[in-house]
Order: sequence, then C-alpha cells, then structure tokens
Amino acid sequence: MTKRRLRKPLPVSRFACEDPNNHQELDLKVPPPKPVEGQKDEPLELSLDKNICMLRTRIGASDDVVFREFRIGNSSALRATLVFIDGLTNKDQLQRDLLTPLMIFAGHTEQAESSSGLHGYAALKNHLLTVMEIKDVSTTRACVEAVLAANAVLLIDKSTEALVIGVQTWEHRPIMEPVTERVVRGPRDGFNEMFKSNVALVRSRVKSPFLRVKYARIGRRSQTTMAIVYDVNLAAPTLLTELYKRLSYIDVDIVLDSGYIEQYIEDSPYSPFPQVQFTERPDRVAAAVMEGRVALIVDGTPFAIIIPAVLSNFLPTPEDHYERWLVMTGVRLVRVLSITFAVLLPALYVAITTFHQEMIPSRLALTIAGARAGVPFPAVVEALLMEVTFELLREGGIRVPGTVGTTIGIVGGIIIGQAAVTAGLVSPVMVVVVAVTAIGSFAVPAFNVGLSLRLIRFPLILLAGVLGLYGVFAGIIIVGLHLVSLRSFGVPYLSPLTPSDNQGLKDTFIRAPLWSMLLRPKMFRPRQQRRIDKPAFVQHPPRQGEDDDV
Amino acid sequence: MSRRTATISARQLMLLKLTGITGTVFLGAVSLITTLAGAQGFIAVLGGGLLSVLVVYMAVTLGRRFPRLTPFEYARTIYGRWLGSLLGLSIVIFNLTSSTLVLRALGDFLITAVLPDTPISITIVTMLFLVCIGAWLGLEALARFNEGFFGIIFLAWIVVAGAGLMRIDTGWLRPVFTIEPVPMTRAALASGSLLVNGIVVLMFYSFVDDQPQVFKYSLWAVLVGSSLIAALQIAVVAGYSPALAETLNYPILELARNISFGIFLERLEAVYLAIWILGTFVKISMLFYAAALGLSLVTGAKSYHWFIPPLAAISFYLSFQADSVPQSHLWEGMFNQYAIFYQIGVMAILLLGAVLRGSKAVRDHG
Repeated sequence: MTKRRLRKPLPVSRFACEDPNNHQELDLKVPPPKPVEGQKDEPLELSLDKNICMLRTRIGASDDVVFREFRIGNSSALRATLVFIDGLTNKDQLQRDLLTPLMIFAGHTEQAESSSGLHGYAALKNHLLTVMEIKDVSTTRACVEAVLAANAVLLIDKSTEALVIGVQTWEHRPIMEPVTERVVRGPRDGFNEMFKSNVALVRSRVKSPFLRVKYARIGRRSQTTMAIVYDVNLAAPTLLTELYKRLSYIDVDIVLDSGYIEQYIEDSPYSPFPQVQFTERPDRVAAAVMEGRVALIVDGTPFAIIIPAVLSNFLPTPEDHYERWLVMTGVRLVRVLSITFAVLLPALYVAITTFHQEMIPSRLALTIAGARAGVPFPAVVEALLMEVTFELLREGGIRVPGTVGTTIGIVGGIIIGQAAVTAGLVSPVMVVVVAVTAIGSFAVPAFNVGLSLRLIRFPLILLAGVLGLYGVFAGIIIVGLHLVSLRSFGVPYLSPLTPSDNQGLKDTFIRAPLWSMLLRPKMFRPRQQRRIDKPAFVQHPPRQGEDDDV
Repeated sequence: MSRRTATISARQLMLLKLTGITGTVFLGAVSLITTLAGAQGFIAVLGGGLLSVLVVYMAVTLGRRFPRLTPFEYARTIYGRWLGSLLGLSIVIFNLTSSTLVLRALGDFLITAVLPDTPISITIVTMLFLVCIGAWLGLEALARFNEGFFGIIFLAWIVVAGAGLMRIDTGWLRPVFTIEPVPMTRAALASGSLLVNGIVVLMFYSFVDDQPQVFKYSLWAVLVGSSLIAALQIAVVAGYSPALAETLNYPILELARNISFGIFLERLEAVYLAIWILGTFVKISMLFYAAALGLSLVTGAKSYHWFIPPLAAISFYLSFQADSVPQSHLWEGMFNQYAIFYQIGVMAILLLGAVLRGSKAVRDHG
C-alpha cells in the first residue's frame, strides 16, 4: 500500500505552491538500511578476547578477514587487535600510520597524556594515530559494518570502545573517456567505479559554496554508499523532499548499480520510457545541477543518475553546448528526424504500400511493385520478418566480443540481407527501409530511449498492417497519451513542449545561443530562475564597431 | 465542493476549443454550410462567429460567478438537488450525443474515403477505445496531448486552406449578400454551433488556473476558428463552383486530394486526414470526458472513471442507429443546426438562476 502511494506521481501543483523566496536549507536524511535478519546489536565488552570472539562470530570464518593482534608500546601489557579485510584496505598506510606508532612510539603516550590532559582513546587519536579518518564506535554491529566497508577497526583490551580507521583502497579503473557518451569536442574524463573520485570530478567543476553533497547508504547487505548532489540555492525543496522520501522507502538487500535506485524511485515503473537520466559524464552532472536538478552518484558504478528527467533531456549530447549553436541546431533537427524514422518508417511503409498506394508517385510505385513481385508475404509480415532479424543481429552483435560483433554486423547486414532478397523472402525496398530505420535508431543519443523506441516500433507496424495510416495514428495517439500522462518527480514528461515553456524550448529541438539562455528552464522549478542575477555586461557578443562595456 | 482533479492553462483551453472547432470541419461542416448558404457560406460562418462570441461571454460570466465549480455542481446550487441534477443530466446527454455523432461521422468518413474495405464497426471501436483511454487519463492529459500535436494539426489546415485559396475563382462568390435571410440564419446557426464547440468553455472553466485570461483566449479561438472555416468555405465554393460544392459529401477531402508539391508529393490526402484525426480524437475525448465527469457529479460517485465503460457501450450502440451514411449525415446536420439553441438555452437558464440568486452563491462557492 505504501509503495503504491509512493509511486503516484507528484502533482505539479505541489511545485507551483512553493515560495521562491524561501531559501531555508532543508535538513533531510535517508535513514540507514535496516540490519540483516538475525543480526543483533551488542555493546562491546571490556575483555578484548570476548570482543574478538563476538566479531569472529559475526563475520564468520572468512579467510580474507585479518585479525592482527599486538601489544601497544614496547613494555606495555595492553593488548590490541586490528581487524580489516585483506585487499580492501591500504596495508602500507596501516603499517605506517597505525602499527608503527602504536607498537614503537607508544611510549610517548604517557607523556602526551600528562601534558594534554587527554586520556585513553582521546590521547591515541590526538597524538599517535596519524590517519585522516577516525571515529569511535561502541557496538559490535558498528564494528562489523565498518570492517565490511573496508575500514580497519582497532580493538583495545579493557575498553568498551573501538576505533574505526578509514584506510579504504582497492583496485579500480582509472578515469577514462566515457564509453557510452563519447564526444568530439569537450571534456574526456568520465566517471569510474570509485564513488569519491566521481564526486570529486563534479566538485572540481562546480566550485560553488552552495553545492551540497550528502551521503546515504542503501541496501541491507550491500550497504552501498551514494552521494546526493545538488545546489541548495537552485534545487526545489519539494523535489528534494520527494527524493529523500522515495529513497528512504527503498529496502533491498543489494544495490549493484544506479539502475537499481532508478527502478525504485521512478514515477511510472510500467512505462517503457526512462524517467531518470543516466550519465557517465561529470560535465553533464554539473550542468544538470546548475539547472536545479539533483544527481545521485552511486558507489561501484560509473553511471550517475539525474532527476527529474523529461524526454527532451535525452535528445542532446554534451557537445551540443560546446559547439556553435547554429550547427548544433541543425544536428538536433537531424536527430529528431532520425527518431521519427526509427519509430515510424517501417509502419509508414507498410501502411502506404498496403492501403494508400495512391500516395506513391507512379514511377516509384512501379519500382516497388516490381521489387515486391516475387515476395510471398504481405508487407506487414515482410517488415516484421526483417525487423525481428535485425533485432537478433543487433542483440547478437552486442553480446559477443568486439571483432566478432563487427563481423556479425557485416554478415547480417550485407550477406543475410542480400540472401533474403535473392531468396525472394523480402523485397530490396524493405531492406533499405529497415537499414534506414536502424541507422535512425543508432542516432538516438540515449541508449535507454533507443530501447523504448525499438519496443514501440513493432505494435505500430502491426497497426499499420491492419488499419493503414489510421492505425499508425491510432498508435501515435496511444503513445502520445502515455507520454503526456508521464511525470518525473512531478515534472510533466513532455515539458517544455507541453506544458510549454519558452525558456526550456531554447534547448530542445533547437539549441539557442548560450547567451540567450538567461533563464533556467522553468519546468524544474529552480529556486532562482535567472542564471545570473545582474549581468555585468550585455549577454550577446558585441558586433564590430560596438563598445563591449555597457 | 469542487471535484476538480486537474488544472489547465487558459492557453491550453484555447487550443482545446480551437481543436474542437477544427476537429470536425473535414467531416461534414463545410458541406452542410454550403448546402444551406451556397456561395455566401463564408458570411454565415462569420455570423456564426459572432453568435459564438455571445455564447463564450455567457459561459465566462457564469464561470466567474462559480470559479471553482463545474456547471453540474452549480446547477444544483442554483436550482436545488433535483432540478439541478436534471439540468446536469441534460448536459451529460448533450455531450454524449455530440461525441457519438462525431464518432459515427468519423466512421462514415473513414470507410468512404480511406478504408473502403474495412467494416465501420472496426473504425468506430478503434476510435472509441482511444477515446476511453483519453477520457480515463483526464483533462490535463488531453490538454497536453492537444498542445503537443496542435502545431502539426493546424499546419495541415493552413496548407490545405492556403493551397485551396490559391486556385479559387472569385467570380463564384459574387454578388455577395444575395441569399435569403432564412437559409443564411440557418447556416449561421449551424456554423455557430460548430464554433461554440460543445460548450467547452462552460465545462472546463473551473479547471483553468489563470481564469482571467479565459475570455481573451476564447475570443482568439473563435476568431482563428471562424477565419479558418470561412477560408475553407471560400476555397471550396470558389474552387469548385457552388453547384459542384453542394454535391460533394467531403469537400475538404477533395481540396486535400488536389494538393501536390512538385511532381513528386501528390495525393497526400491520407496524411492530412490522419493528422486531422488527431484533432477529432481530442474533440470526441473532450466531450466524452465531460459526459463521464458530469454523470459522476450528478450521481455523486467518487470517480468518473467507472462511468467510462458503460458510456462507451451506450455510445457504441447509438453510433449504429443510423442505417446508412446519408441518414447519419442528415442527423448530424440537424443536430448542428439546432444544438446552438440548447447551448444558449442551458446557459441562459443557469445565468438567470445565478442572477436571481444574487451574489450569495459566489461567496459560498467561489
């Protein structure tokens, strides 16, 4: 019942009633994941042996969990144990900043205690351990969680507290060019699987004191960390409240990718269209945050997700904003045309050749009729046959290693197509139609939108085969109705087209000059509509002979 | 208490009204006006435009008195439970009849002009299915759908009207004002009924968030709509001659059929028609939604959604009452000529009641 209520889209009226002058920062938190069943939380005991025993019981007999027992100082009888997971912690740092001070320089502790007035753990933390991240815990569950999160835990005899020391490190991919969002012009750095470096990549681009990075953990067993990144002066409070509410309701055992989070927080889970944008590019996240949107960077995946996301967000590529506006407007129109081809071309071909032959110019009609003369199937079967074959080839090409995939593409595209025509199964015109459709679908920048378009192509072909253009437009009506009823965190999915927003339209089908985009898109309800409060100079470049300071 | 479930802008209401006006022009409206007024049909359209301005003014005046209530609700406020419900029920029946007639006219048109081998029941069931989805999703979705597709729908109209006007012989229009007053009045009433468009403003005024703009935008809709119909009327009459135009069942289809771009793109009427069907869908859905919403308000039901399937069944049944295409045309023509009386009448009754009750109703429910 609760989940159903959560999935109900946030009404637009909730945004509309917000006070734009309210700049109070919200104190929102995602509660930590619930403990795994059967995990009790017990306080640490004074006896080190008992604490070790409890931890061993909790973590189990795993060979990669190291319990390093030692004594503090040269002559002290005080025993201690360092617990960490081999491979996830920086052992060099542990040896340099923890074991060496504790085992060799611990004699300084007494002197330090007497001079500073600090005792016990306080003295250890302030005078001996030269590590950056350190905190106290007092329960076994906290110790276990810290160890599993790649920290080291220092247990000391005769103490009911333990120290968690942040020494995480593991092998990871370096920062590389994003695989799915390559650009000709623009930054080449992309996210990797390291969550903190991903956050840093965004931070390095937005040096604003209003940028907020809030950590949260999700997943009972995976305890996956994620960062919620937004500009406190721009993101709508309703949006943030709704996001935190949806995040706090997620209760899963494991989160392996941001796609898991996406599926739990999206408004309409039964829609084929994505309502959350994913990206590998820090510049894209930075741009989204500057529009008043919110990014989620999840540990262990190079894909950050951005909310809210409307259909027009999936149309541009990052370099659209780095190149000249007029050229990129042309490119965007080509993309719109390619999307139209990807969705409609086979259906239109079937409708026209089956029901509306009068629309085809006479010579072309004769050519098509001649080509189809030996084909035993009606156009709709022919189209479905070729489309299904093409989907098989595409799926096969993606799942096999690179060179083999290319070979499959060539074999499929040329040889099977040619063979099908020679065998009289399909007409050459249909091969051309399917090829143009495929090229059109490749030109869609967002992979997940491309998948949705592939899905809706098939029912449209069937409708065209049954009812001609009337059927095609019936299909368009259904898809259109679905799209207008979709929302992403309260934002209508077809905005800024409908409800119309002139400012937003400057960055959809066209890409207006950057200097003309003085306002942020209204659809995301940013707290500050103007990008710059009081421009210091005119926003357009001065013409020849014009004075550039006004 | 208001039962508003959605909000739209005055601009979206204007576009809905305009789509409602243009949504059925290609079905039979121009043919009817030509039959009634011959070459002077365009003058009748302008007269109908003036009439619809009056109706819009009445609707906005009523809406201003009850800004948060639908006519189904304030009819009960003004005339009490039983009489008000009866009045509301009559509006429901009017909307359902309007939508059914348009549905049947569309079915006739499709089997006549585009899909001759397809049974009419298939075309009607398909459209009814789409209308049910549209009505189920509600006014907000319909308004957005219409706003999204309006550009392409209107562009198709501009192309057809523009191309039609380029090949007219103005001699067929002269001399003007030679028609008798009675046929001119009848044609003006028919075009006025079309331009009033199922009392859209009255139905949906309370759903508009920027209500002060409604009158201005509605006037724009009437102006643009009547100009377009007048232009099409001229294109048909002066393009084919009044005598030939009167014999054409679907004159707009003939206009579209004759448009070609160069020697390559020709006989594109199926494309125009498919685009215009988007508008027809919006019109039928609007009327259907209003009928379902009205029925839920009259009966006091919690949601209008559950009235959609039975209303669809009734609409399906009623759409097959005409035995033939000519009979269907006849009924549609009669309805278009006399519907304006009902529309003006119901608004006059409501307005009179509201005035007699004084401003108390405004304070209580406004």
